Amino acid sequence: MWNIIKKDLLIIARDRAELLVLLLMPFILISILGFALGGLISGNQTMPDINVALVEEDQSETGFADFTAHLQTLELPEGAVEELEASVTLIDPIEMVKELFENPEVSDAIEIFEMNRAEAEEALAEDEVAAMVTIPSGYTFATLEKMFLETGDGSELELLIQDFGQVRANVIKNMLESFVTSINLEMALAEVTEGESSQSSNDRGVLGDSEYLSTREPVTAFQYYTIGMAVMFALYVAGTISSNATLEKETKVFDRLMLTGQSPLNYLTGKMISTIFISVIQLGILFSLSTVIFQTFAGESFFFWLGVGFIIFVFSLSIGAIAALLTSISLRYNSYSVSGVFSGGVVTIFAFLGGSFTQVEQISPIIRVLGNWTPNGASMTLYMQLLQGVGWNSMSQIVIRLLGTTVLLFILAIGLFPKRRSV
Amino acid sequence: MWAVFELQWVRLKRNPFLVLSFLGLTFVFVFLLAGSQADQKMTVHTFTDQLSEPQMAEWLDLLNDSDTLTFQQSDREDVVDLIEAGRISFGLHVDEEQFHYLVGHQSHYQIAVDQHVQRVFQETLRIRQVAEQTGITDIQGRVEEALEQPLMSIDVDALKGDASQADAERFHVVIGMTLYFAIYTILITISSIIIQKRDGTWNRLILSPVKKTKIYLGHLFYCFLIGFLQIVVSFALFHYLLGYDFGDQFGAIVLVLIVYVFSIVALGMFLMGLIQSPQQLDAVNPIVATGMAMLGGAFWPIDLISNQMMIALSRVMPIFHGMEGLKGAILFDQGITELLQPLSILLLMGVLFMGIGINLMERDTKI
Repeated sequence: MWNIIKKDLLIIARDRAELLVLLLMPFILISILGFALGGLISGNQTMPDINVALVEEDQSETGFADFTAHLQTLELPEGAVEELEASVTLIDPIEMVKELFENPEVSDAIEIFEMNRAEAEEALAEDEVAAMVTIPSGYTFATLEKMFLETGDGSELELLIQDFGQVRANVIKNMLESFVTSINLEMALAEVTEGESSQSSNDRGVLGDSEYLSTREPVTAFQYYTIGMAVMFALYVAGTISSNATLEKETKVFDRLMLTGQSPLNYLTGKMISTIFISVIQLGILFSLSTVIFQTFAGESFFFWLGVGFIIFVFSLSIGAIAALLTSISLRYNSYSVSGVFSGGVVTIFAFLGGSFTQVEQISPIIRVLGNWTPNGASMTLYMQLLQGVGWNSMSQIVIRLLGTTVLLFILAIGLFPKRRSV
Repeated sequence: MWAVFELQWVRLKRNPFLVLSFLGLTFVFVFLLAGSQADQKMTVHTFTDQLSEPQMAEWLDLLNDSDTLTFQQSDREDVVDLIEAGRISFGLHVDEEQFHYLVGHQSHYQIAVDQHVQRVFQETLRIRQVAEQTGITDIQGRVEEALEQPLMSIDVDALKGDASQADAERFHVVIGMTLYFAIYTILITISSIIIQKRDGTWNRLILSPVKKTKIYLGHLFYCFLIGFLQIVVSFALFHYLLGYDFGDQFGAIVLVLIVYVFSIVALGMFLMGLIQSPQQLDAVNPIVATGMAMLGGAFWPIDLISNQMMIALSRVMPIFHGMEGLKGAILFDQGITELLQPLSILLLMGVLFMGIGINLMERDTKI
């Protein structure tokens, strides 16, 4: 028994390049992740500054002048004109748009560049700005006319973006929309109450803060993807180790082993244990290095790490069982294709189901339920629960499921192991 | 060349397991992907501790006035259970004049939800405040009436067509995952060269009067076809069976696919030059495929990324340009002339990889 395990570990150790790839590559991917989601690591979900071009084709002065001229042409009662002229000076529609972008909360995330139309269009096409906001000529006049005289169709701001799929463009779009909505709302309120609605005192404080499940911080996006990649890459260990079985069969090592009377159980257990061994090391390296370098799980308690260790172990058991199953199938069909199909296809699908690629909101509930039945999905859920400080009771169910799957897979592996005469 | 090409098909007939299972997995994959996208609206689980049924119903009614979000009533326990099970990342907690998020883990969807909820709350609370001040009872209806002729409006336009945000997100996932999946198929198919080298059949081929370029061409054309067919089958399933609208630019889509698959085949050749055994390839494939997909933005929107180096790196990933090209053709109805940039970049990458790859392989065989 020990000799078989030793043989498996020696085979792996001999191919240094492969071993290195197996152990360290996941960490390189996590680093990519770290840099890519850099803004998200720190926990405050900031985005890069969004550049916006502002095109002013209207001037406040001409707008006001047009409006006062327009007032003269109307047959308004005595004094009304003067009163309107006086109140008009209090409002500058162009300034309102500019103030929106100068608001400190907004200017943190958005940088405004004033340009003319041609420049802005070029900048947008060249992707130097994400959006182009145009204040068209006649905007001031139309706003004032609608606001004070309640005639005309109201004014229109123009927003030009690259495409609707861009997150940045949608941020700007949403911001402008809520600006316009709130102005329209105030206007409608003033109209309905005949000016009784004084400016809002806005003493409600901050709306929509976050509360957390326990005393713990929420799981960050970086932690989420780190775990997602970790559980995905551990699956590849099973593929790589089982492809060694095909190699052994080709080099007749397997036949010689069988001749010495080794039982299939021993052979498969050897594969399983060496897989568990590699996968525990791989996951261990991944979790500890990413904490040391990226502070992914910095400041967690000893108890947390105990939990991580336990999940790594249980998960590795199931990977070991998968490796055993793949070994049996590979030996049966005598082909590298089995491990290839597993690594290329099955792992991708498992990882997708388990939520390694996309955040849960994008995935329908049915898929999530399916995902929790895959070993990687189940382990991912366990890690998330551990990070959220969920009690042992709700975790034990998934642990039992994972162990059950492991036993089932191993029994299947023994059942599929090629019978003696077919060897 | 055709003899070598034919040889591959004979091999396939003898041992169809690999290609057939990838075909099967493609079906599974497509349906899972479509299944995961079936619900176009995102559901936000909403609960309250203090509000009465009618009050809550009123809020839900107001909140549900959205094209992209559905607010579903739930209670605190259920939401906590869902978060703990990792099924949702946050829930919405509504109170008298306040709302909170119950957050399990951060997700960029919360930002989108927050924008909507903020707007609804601020609007509603403001109307209620004014109603209190002035004592007008039917204020809500009258305000809505007045809002039918708004003071200001926005005219939103996009340079590239008018595909909606929801469509863009859906296609981003479908295109990204399909291209990602195809990388595996291509890399695994191409690895048959390594096995042939080890088995010695490669040497026998070289000794035959067939020209070396023809041997390569025959092999690579076969790998190309397998990868190309996989993507075409996936897209066809999405288009004809699952009701995704791939637009009218079939020529452009096919052309982008051709250059994309070519660049991946070339990348495969490059890897073949570096790698000695099928086992190593097993370990390297996932790194290359996943790393490339991550960097190229197949998993998350690339414009969320702020790091300049990462942005620069994403531009060297074939998958990035493949996605740009396909999105252009499918979502924005761009023709071949408008897609010249991604097309030519992919072609250039392909030629480069192929050149270096074949050189590396040839150096190997001389030793």
